[in-house]
Amino acid sequence: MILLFCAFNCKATIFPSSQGAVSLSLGTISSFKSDPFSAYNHQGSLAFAKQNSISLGFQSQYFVEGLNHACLAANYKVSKTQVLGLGYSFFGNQHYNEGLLKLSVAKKFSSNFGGGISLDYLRLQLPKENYPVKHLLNFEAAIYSSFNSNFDFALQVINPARVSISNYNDERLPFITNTSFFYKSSSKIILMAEWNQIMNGKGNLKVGVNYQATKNLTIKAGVFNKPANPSFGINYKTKDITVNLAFAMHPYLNAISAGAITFSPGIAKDEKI
Amino acid sequence: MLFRPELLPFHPVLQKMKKFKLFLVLLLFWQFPYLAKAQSDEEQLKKLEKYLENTDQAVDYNDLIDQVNYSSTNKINLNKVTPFELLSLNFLTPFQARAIIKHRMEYGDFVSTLELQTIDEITNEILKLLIPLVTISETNFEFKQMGQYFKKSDKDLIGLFSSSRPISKGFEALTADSNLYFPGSPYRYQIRFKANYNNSLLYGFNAEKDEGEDFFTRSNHLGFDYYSAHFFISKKGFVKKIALGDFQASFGQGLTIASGLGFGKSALVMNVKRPNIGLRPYRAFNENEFLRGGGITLGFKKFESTTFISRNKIDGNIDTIATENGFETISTSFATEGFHRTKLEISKEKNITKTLAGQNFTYQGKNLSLGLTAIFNAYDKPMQLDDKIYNRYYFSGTNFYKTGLNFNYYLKNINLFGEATAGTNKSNGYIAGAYISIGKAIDLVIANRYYSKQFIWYNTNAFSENSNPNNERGTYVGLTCNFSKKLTFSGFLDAYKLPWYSFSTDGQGKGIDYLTELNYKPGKTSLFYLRLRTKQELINLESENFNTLNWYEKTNFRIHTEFIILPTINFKARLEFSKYITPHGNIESGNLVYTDFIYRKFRSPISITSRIAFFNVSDYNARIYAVENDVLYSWSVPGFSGSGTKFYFLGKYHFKDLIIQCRYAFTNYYDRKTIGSGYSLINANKLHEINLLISYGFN
Repeated sequence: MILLFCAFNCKATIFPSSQGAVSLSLGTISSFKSDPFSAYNHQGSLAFAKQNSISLGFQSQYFVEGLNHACLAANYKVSKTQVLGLGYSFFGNQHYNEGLLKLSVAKKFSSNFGGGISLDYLRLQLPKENYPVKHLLNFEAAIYSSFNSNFDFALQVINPARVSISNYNDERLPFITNTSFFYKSSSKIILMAEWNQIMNGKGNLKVGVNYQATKNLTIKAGVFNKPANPSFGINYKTKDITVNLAFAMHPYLNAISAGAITFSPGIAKDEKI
Repeated sequence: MLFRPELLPFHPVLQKMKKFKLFLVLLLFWQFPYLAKAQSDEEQLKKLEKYLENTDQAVDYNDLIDQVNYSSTNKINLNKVTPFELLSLNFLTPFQARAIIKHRMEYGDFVSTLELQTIDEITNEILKLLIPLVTISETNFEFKQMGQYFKKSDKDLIGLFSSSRPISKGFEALTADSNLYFPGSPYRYQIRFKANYNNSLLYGFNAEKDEGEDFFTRSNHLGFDYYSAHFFISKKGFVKKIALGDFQASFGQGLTIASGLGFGKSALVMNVKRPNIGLRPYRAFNENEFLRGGGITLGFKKFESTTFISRNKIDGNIDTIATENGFETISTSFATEGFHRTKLEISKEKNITKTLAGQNFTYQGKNLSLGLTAIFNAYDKPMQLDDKIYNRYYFSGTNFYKTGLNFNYYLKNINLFGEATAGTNKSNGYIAGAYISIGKAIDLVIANRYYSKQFIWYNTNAFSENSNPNNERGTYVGLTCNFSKKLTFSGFLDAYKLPWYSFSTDGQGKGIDYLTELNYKPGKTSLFYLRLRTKQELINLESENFNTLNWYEKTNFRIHTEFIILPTINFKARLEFSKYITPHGNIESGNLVYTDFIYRKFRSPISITSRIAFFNVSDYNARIYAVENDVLYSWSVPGFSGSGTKFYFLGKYHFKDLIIQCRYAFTNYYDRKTIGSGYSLINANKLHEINLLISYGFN
């Protein structure tokens, strides 16, 4: 019961909306264009993926066994404008766990506009003695657009069909919208804000800043509210490998920590369409 | 002055060379009219949106829309337009209007509308709005040629069908004799015929049946529930205007007479001054806000005289009371909704006969204009409102008169305007203000107003906090700063008092209302703005025995962006938050996010507009307004509350003289199982709406 309480009251709730160390370090903002977990987090920013990549990540919640996430994300550029994405995450323990698989397709329609859609399969394991395993299908869609060279906008809808979990009390998977704005204040600094809204529920404001300290090192920080969780992260990039580490501090429960490693073969090129 | 490279060919020396200038203008902007026309609907929508989305009052915006449409379909002749007529477009400042007139006086008649480019005060944004609405074609109207004008006039026949599903409870009523039963079909029909010959001769008619109203049966055995017809002549010479049938009359600042609705406080922060429109035809579907009869405007040099008379029946509640002389029928309120579906609604139909006569004299000088207006209004049944304390000073009786004096004066960079009115039973009021242009970058407007608690607001639309000017005094300050071509700041502050009780205030009310907007436009293809509006007002804090007053506060914060993502596709996105703090200190909040995709290809007959909106608003008081595109001559302005999703799709096919438009809207609520209340209740959480319009133009 304690684990379930934690699961439903912390960010690692049923049907999490974002994964990966980059997202966590930016206050769990899901739509950052340079996030290697875009294949999982945001189909709009996935459209702007510059190269093929595969990422593995792990996230520990408050150092409590059984509240950990493991996740994988990969994207493959089919053409200059089309990208396929694969994402998988696992959360939980033997009594309660969630496995979420996402298959995405994204397309860049112009140099400043892209969008994508993903099909999600959720396997929900409730206490075996009382409940059967739930197999749920839903979808997500997102767009990402650049207002100009400084401003970006993104919108994501997750599970707009509000898939039913149980007929009892009309329980449904939440319908979530993420609305994001990005402002590139200089060549090194990007400021961002995202409004996360669970429909017919509460909203959540997230803000973040991305600072390109050196060619290889990026420092990130963010805050997400209700309650306020400050977060911090670093990103170190070599030729093909990128390592991300992130930490967030819950005011009452403890720290959340995450790490990810990304392999991106080849050198990204700026492409014109 | 900002550097405007496109104006380089218009160096003052070249400006003297009229033909050469025209050649250059035409060379550079030969394509502009096509583009401008294509954008005009969108620009007009933005204008209307700025006003409507900041209006908490449930106004019938149909009349305002008609005002906007009237401007777009009846082009103003630049070579005979007055400053007042230019101001009636609602987006020009007094200085811009004056600059156009001044240009004409200095350089002679306009030889092309594109010549507006050469006027410093006319920015590119204003030019985009203005070009589709103006002309230079000259018409010498001759009564002898009337038959020819009838034949040659441009005619449009427009039909509208609309309906929604599931149908509301009123259609499923228990018995046909129930007072709540809608006997008619769940469809709305509109027919509109309008004809125009060079803006000199306008005539046409409107007919409408709302959902649930009878059609060619029972209470509407003549077919539609509402009919309206107009005939209007506008010309040069001694007889300037003739209006017959349904028309509107507005003079001065709308304190003495202004039929129809007026723009109030909004994000158009400089929009305080009313245009002195005079007579104009009425072509909207508001069933009570017009005059029916006739009017004439005569002109001699700088003087004009307008006389008008109207007599029509309007909806209202009536009652019979016992008096010393027997029984008397009185009217207790007006009914302005225009619905005649249920027996109860039909019982209010056309119960009151209203007669109105008026006279205006106007002097129009170079810098000064003066107007004197008098009206006499009579009802066939005496008005006697409910015995409530807030009704104590409202008009009662059968007739009243009003007389008003208005002025408008240009003093260098200052434009002074105002009107003072006195009438029956201390129905006094005034508004006085000044537009000040501080350099090229800053415009300021200050206006002070006072409307006594006895002020009779019938037939008026003066600038005010409440929907009707009455029982109010206040001061308004509006400001726009053009920091650069890309960055603009605008805002207003309005502080007001309500000296006497009102419906929601058991005592002296007061409030403060302010708006700020930062607008960033980096290029022709993108726009971004932030807007914050807050209103604090005293309101009843209801308790068991008596009401005390306490403050409520409503705040809206908006982030809006729009840009072109492909040459044929425009994209818009908005995120808006609202917060309402009740007098009890409870906080209600909400947010709305939407995205629009607009497909429009140059010279393509097809255009498509679509929107998906997600809203999550905890209480009706925190509702968020968003203007939606609709078929021609109508727009929707829903106030979103609750939690849900709304999608709409508007397709338009325009081939030669034929326009077909279809709009489908779908709303899905997550927090309720029914929509609406009373006999409009719908037993579902999903609503489908469809509008279909067909317009055919011919000669």
